[in-house]
Amino acid sequence: MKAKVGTLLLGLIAAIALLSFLWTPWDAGAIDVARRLQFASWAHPLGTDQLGRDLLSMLMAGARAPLGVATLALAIGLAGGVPLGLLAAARPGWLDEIVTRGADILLALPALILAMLVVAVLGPGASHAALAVGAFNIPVFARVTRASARAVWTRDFILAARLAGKGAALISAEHILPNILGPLVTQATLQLSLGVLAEAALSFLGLGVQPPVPSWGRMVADAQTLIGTAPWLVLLPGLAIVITIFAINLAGEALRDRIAPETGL
Amino acid sequence: MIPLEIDHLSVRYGDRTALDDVCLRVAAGEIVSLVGPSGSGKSTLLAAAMDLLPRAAIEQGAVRIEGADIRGLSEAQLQVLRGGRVGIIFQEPATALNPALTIGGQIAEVLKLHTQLSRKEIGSEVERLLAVVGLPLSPKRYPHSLSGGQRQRVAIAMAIAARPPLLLADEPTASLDPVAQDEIATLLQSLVREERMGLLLVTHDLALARRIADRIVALDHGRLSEQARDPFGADSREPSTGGEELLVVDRVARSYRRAHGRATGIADISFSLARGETLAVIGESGSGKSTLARLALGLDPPDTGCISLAGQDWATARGAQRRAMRRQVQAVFQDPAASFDPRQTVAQIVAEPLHLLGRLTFAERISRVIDALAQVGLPPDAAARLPQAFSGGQRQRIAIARALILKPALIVFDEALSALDPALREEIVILLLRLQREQDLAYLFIAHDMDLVRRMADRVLVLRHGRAVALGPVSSMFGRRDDPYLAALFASPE
Repeated sequence: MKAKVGTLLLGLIAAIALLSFLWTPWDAGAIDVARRLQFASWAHPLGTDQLGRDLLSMLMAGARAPLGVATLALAIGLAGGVPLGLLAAARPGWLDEIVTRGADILLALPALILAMLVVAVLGPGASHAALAVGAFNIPVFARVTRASARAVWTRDFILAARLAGKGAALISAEHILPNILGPLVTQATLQLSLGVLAEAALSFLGLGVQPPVPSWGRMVADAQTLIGTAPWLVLLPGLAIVITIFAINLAGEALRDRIAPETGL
Repeated sequence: MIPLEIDHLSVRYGDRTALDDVCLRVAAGEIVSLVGPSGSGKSTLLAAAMDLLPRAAIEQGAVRIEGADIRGLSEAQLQVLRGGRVGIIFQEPATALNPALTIGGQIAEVLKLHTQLSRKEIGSEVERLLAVVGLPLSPKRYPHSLSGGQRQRVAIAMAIAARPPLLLADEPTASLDPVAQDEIATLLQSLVREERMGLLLVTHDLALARRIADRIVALDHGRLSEQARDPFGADSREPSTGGEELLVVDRVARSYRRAHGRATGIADISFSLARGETLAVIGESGSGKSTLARLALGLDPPDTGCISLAGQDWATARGAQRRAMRRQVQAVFQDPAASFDPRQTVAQIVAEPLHLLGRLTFAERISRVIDALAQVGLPPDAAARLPQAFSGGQRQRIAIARALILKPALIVFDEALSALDPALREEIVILLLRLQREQDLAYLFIAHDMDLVRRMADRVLVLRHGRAVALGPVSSMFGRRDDPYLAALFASPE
């Protein structure tokens, strides 16, 4: 039940983000200063902002950046971290030492501050934000993969695979990876919602997608001085962020139960 | 008052009868041993004694502890009963103890729940209980720093802490090495006599039951019969005539460094094994048996010495030669549940060694899998199922099918039959003896069960602390009194 709600909700948010590429009630970037700060009406169901832009259209289009950046960052983290973790688990010794210590060092640094630094150096923008957030997903996945894989390596069926003449790479692909999907899915859910949060933070600071493309984080930042006169301008994008993170966590739980019911974390 | 009375108890799960009109009494100071194959209803009987069964499953009958019918009790009263009036000892002390609490803390918890002692009194009672179970250790130790036998002593201390009139023990010695088994059996016996408790001992181990029990009752398909018969016949294996040397282990040593700096391993081991021959390797846990198995399988290289298979040294074989050696040797491990990838079907599991033959068509793979399954008496439709769908004995057959599929010359059995009950074990023994005869297989058989060694092996290698204590024909080992270690290992059950 809980799982179904989460999956449906996340599907709905993703569908809205995709729909916004084709259609929004108004042009999300269209400025009409004469109609600024209007309350909800038939023409503007959620009202307008300080520049007279339609808030509903902005909220719809504003979903693209957090979802896109978080998904891309997750893909970067998985593509980089899982192979590193598998390698470290398969080759105890100096290689394992390098991967683990490297991950420890990266994780010891405050991720968001460093992501800001990366974006500041590379220049603001969605792809740079994804790169910066994704870079910090790599040590997280490397660590989870290594720890779970080490536990699988000690099982007798790995001995049986070695007796079949299989090497570390083949064993990792055939036996280790399918048996660590549970913890990986759990971690992926966590990193996806953290990615949404990180994008919102970067956008809030003006380091995410650039105007006129809207993003929830920047909508909050732009409207914060108006919180007394038009509180919905801050509350609605904030609520959108919260609901999205909530939906990701619920949907992740459903996915984990389906992929790896026996791990039951 | 009688600690345990089971009166005409029948239990049914759906349309399967688990217990059929069972009557059983355990008197104070009496040890009653319950034996029977797996699936015979032993666990159901134990669960009934603790009132852990769903009420709907109980068809008729009563369970009385000290004269009180436990079915009339509320959940709160039952909590007083479990652990307070009935002490329980499980098979696996490693999982029965909480690794995050000190042993003293865990014993104290039982006392807090089930007695009215003050904090100070609990402290001295914990010390007393540890002394009673023969564990003169600090109560501040954690379970991980104890051996299996010591952990089982802690579990026993917890079970008797509240001075219950009844003790239930579920295979209390099955996971221990022979020396620890012996000590725990002696401890249980003396505790029951001194504290006048009743002990219901569920076990596969007839030798243990005969040694300490006053009565042995057997369960079979839910029916009880007094005095179990002996499932082990006197028929021993014909000694092998001895053929060409297959496995030669020459002055081999190997040590593993543990985290806390203590090295374990084996030193100066030499033996050879001929085609069609069975060599048993026995010794207490930690004596190096599994290390030896890994070396013989070529999974780890020895530090010194050499191990050769059909004249080829593991250390120098590379590439195609090594693959050819790999095809000669396979293994069956102790725990069939752990030796299969839980995400693979039986067909994928059994076909795994075919990797050594290079590319095969799907039809070739399937026909070989079905052939291997047939050799161990499993139907072709087993191939598509998951191993979790099979019982323990069938799983071990699947493991043997995997070992047979390449038609190897040597199979290493690492405690492969320890987890099975006597009836299933007997079936597997017969299967293994037949396969050995038909295919001229050599077996390296790691075990701690002497009945099994007697039935299976031609010769036996005894290890202790990583060194060979004795090597010779099986018959020469039984009844030896010159060496206390050998005498303890080969003590006959009677």
